[in-house]
Amino acid sequence: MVEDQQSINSILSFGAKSVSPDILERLLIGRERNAEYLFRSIEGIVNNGNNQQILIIGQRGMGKTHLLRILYHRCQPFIANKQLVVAYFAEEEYGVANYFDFLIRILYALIRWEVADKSHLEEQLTALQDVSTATQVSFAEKIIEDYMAGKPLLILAENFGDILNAIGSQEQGKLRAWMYKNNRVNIIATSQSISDDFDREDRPFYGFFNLYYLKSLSFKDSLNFLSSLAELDGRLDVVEHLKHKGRSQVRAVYELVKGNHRLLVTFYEFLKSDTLAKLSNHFIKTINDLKPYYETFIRYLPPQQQKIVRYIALSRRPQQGTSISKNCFIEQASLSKQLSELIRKKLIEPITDQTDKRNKLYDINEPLLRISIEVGEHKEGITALFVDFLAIYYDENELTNKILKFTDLLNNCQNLSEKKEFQYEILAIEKALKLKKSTGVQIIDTSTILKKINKLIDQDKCQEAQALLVREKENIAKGEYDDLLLRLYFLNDQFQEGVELFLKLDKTYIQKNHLYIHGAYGLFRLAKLKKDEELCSLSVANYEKAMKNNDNPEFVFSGLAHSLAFLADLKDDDTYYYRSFKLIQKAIELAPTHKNYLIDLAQWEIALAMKNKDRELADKGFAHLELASAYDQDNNKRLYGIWGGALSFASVYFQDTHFNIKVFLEKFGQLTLQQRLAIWKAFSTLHHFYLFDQLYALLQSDMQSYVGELNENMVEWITHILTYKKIKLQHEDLAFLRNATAEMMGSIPELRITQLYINTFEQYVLNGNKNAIYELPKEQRLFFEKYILGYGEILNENTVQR
Amino acid sequence: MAKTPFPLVPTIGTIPEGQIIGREDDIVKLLRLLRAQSISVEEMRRMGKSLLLLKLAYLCNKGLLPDEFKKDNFKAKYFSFQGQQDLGQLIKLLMEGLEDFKDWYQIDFSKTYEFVRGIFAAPEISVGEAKIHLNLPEYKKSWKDIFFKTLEDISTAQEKADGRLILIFDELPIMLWEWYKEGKHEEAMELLDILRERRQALEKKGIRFIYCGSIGIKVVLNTFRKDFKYTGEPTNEMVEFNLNPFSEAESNFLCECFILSGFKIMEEGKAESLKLVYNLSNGLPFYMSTLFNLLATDFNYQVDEATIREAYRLIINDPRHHKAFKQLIDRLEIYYPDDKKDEMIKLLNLISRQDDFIDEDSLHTQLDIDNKESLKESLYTLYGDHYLVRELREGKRFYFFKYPIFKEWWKINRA
Repeated sequence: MVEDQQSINSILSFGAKSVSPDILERLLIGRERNAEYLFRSIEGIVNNGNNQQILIIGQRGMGKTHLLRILYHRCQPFIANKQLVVAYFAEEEYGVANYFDFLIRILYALIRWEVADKSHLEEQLTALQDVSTATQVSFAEKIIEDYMAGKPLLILAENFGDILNAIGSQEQGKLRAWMYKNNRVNIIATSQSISDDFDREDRPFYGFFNLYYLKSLSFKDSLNFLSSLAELDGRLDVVEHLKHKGRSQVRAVYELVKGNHRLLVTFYEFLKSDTLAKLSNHFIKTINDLKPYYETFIRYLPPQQQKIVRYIALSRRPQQGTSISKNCFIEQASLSKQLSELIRKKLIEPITDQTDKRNKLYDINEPLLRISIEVGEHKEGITALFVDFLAIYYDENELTNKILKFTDLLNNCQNLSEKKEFQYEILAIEKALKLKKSTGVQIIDTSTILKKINKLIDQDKCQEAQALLVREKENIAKGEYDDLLLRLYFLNDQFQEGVELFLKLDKTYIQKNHLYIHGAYGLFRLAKLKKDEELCSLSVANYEKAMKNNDNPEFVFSGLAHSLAFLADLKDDDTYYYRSFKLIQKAIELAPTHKNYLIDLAQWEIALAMKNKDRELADKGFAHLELASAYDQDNNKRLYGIWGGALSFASVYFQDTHFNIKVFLEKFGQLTLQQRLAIWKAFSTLHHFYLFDQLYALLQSDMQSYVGELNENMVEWITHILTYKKIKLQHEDLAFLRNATAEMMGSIPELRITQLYINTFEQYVLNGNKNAIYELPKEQRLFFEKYILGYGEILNENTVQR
Repeated sequence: MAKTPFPLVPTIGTIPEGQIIGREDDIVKLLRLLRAQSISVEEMRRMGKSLLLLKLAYLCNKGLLPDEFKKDNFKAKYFSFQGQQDLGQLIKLLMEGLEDFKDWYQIDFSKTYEFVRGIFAAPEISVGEAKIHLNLPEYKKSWKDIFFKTLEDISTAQEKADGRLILIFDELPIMLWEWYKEGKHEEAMELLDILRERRQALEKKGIRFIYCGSIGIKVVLNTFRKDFKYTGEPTNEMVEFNLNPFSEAESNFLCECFILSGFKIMEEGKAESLKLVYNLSNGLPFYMSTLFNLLATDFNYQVDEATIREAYRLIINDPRHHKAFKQLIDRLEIYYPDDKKDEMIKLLNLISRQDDFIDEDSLHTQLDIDNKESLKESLYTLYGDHYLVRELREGKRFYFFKYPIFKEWWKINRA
């Protein structure tokens, strides 16, 4: 425990190297996968005889030192078994000026960590000192190579970018040449960013390292990290606190530190001291402690870049390039170069302007960098920050209570300077309370957020649900987030995004959370949109996986049936249809009263029947539609739309025989007027005289009840009928249409023109009087020529395809 | 090469020479050429030149070459010239590599030692174990002599052995370029002269040279000709060897090795996945490794069609993975004057937007480059520099990107 306590203190003072490895392993929250990946690479070096050169990239305080320490610790068995030599460099290797210095650092590292070989290596180093300058390099190489004795060497180095920068391009060349000559040298190194030495074509290490980026910790990881820290610190009260109210406080901290390990450690101290009365003092102290650390971020920047960082920081919101240029007095031409440099150094981040996507806004990448700059500017700056912090950190009740508490303290305080401090505290809390009331800043926990999202989904407000989910991303576990987002993408018809997300998900996760079925559905919808056979096949494959995974069988059967039916169309291969029939029948067996399955089946049967002129199959299809009409009478648009449409098409494809339309007419007549209104609109996009003829009586009566509602649709419907080329209209059909238009003309004056078209059609098409079109005014003639006589052209493509 | 796949964790850095995969056909071609002449290998960076040459040396020296080369008795010595700052350092590097020669040919270097000792007036000297100090300026005038003498000794021993010794000078052009940038062009030209003067004589005795570099030796020579009126032809009669992408079989073998290092792949659909990797990476091992690295880090070691496509999308679209594409720009900026660079960028922009080869005339009419000769020259440079490939159709020259993956990147990120 004593050792643990010391180690904790080391952690708290950012000394990962002096913390015991066990504690570091326990604090590996959010970085387990990183450590696993890197260690697998080392296993490859030892067990497979491979080489690895990896560069880990992450900002200050992201846990790079921690990771290297863990790796070094995990290498111990390999070192003990003489399978690997590890040169673990110091965190800051100052004074490495050339390739020779680098070799010396390898020796120093071996001396530092390999206690057993220390004296031997020291002797070698002494011998090296006596060798003439010109031959020292090859001598040093030889010492290292002899020490390796055929074993692989792994160099663990921090701030490798700085080392390369210090030794320069030509000396880097020598290092690279040595690594090719002695080809068991491996490097796993860290760097804060990618410098030219890794990035420029004329540098030796261009494209040489596998780049491995460390990501910031999520909110959940941050919370777990702090809990583990408290556990190790023996502060069970803090562990308990973090399970409840502390979560929202961590959220406030997280807003400031954005998942940075080192800063979380700093704020751990702050969380611990929450009971202290003078919160502002503590806050200011924490910020002031961090200030020197952040100052190093900007101290060495060129003056123009300092100006930009300062301006954006003090603006406290993202700024446009033009505004930065104006306020920093930097010409636009040189600004973009400076901005890209700052982005490269990860000091600012570009954000797409949501109001104009061509524009970019620039913001400070790390909130505490802004804070540190503000602290340096004026007292009001920190007050404003403190107010923000309080507003996030506490809820309204707590703030109110604190005002009461401090007012009480103020009233009983005799000391003048203390009085001032209490007044400051009260003022800040009052401002925070006001801010909270005006902006509605509030923290809610994960379960509340999820409940809210699910409620929105239930209310069919899926867009809102998605927006809330994305906003609260950091508060939700990644798995849960991905799962919900995937479903919401599909609910919001964002199939491309949904499919992209699905394809990125881990297969084990998909399996565990039964997401194959969702992915397959998204792929199917996207395939339909793009008419893409490959996507459709992928959808089928995923439905099949869903089936193996025991995902909801009813939905799997019906979904797979849909994908197969569409694939049948795309591939023009009926065998897929037959498979889809079987599957949808299985879905029907599981949900016999679900009329949509029956409609699906009927639809495919009738389509295939028409294609193959298979009357028997068509009858089956109509029988299934009839069966579907027996179930619930709500939401009948799809059933009757398909039924009516199928009858219309059947009248064309099976011209010699007739289908029984009586049942359809009877059932359709039993619908409410309101239900029929939507269906009439759908029918008006069809161009079969047959259906119009059969339904006219009912249509006429409905028109009287819905004066004006169907005017446009009637004009459209009759015009569609005239454009249809598959069936030649006869004199009696035209007479029927003419009568119908005459009867409706009183309420639909536009039908006058339609009637003119009917007459012209009869003259031109049936009587062969080609001059008849000249009876029409020019614009009507053009319309008639183009749309009614046009070969296969239709009035409104979109409408008809609907 | 082992015929059975072995576990190989994807890497884009060094690979132990016994584990370098593929390139057997290239090595056979190289050796056939080397029977008769020396060779210059030029390709962009990260194409696997150094690994090819290391493998060549490994197979030669371990007696692992195909039977057809048994009689040739090939030996090879690989030198990386990167970072050598002057002729003195370079000669020292070569002489430090002499140990291998001693073992192979039982060369008696005593004459060389005597010779060097004469120059240095040193009582004790050991060339092979690097105990002399050759880069002292006062001995500079003798470097050339020492170099000649050493090569002569080697070639004489080599002649007796009735074999062929391949001296591989990796990164020779980039070293010369560095010297040029630092104003040491005279030394660079001196080295070129040494190589030119003795190469043919040495070749007669069975020595073969391979000059290798990511920038062509031509780029260096053209600059020397332009800036210093250099007239030497140090690479005359050397054959230029172009490195090809992996064949599909080599690509599959590499993938199998990667997979064995811990990737997850279903047997069903595996062949399709490997084919996809081959197609998307254009058979370039660097991109195959990058792709597998991404599959490990971002896709939890899962290999299937979807993850491969997604990883490829990241390579093309995510700036973090643009390192090996950035050289397409860098090379133009570093090695060519601004006007030429601008012209070449315009050409690449336009060609990247084409679906098929485009001819010179169309390029000329669609670009604001008046001088057609200059345009032709730029196209020729881009062709020679491995950006483009060329086809002759009915007497006209048509151009297209050499690698689809480069075209895709250029189109999306630059054009």
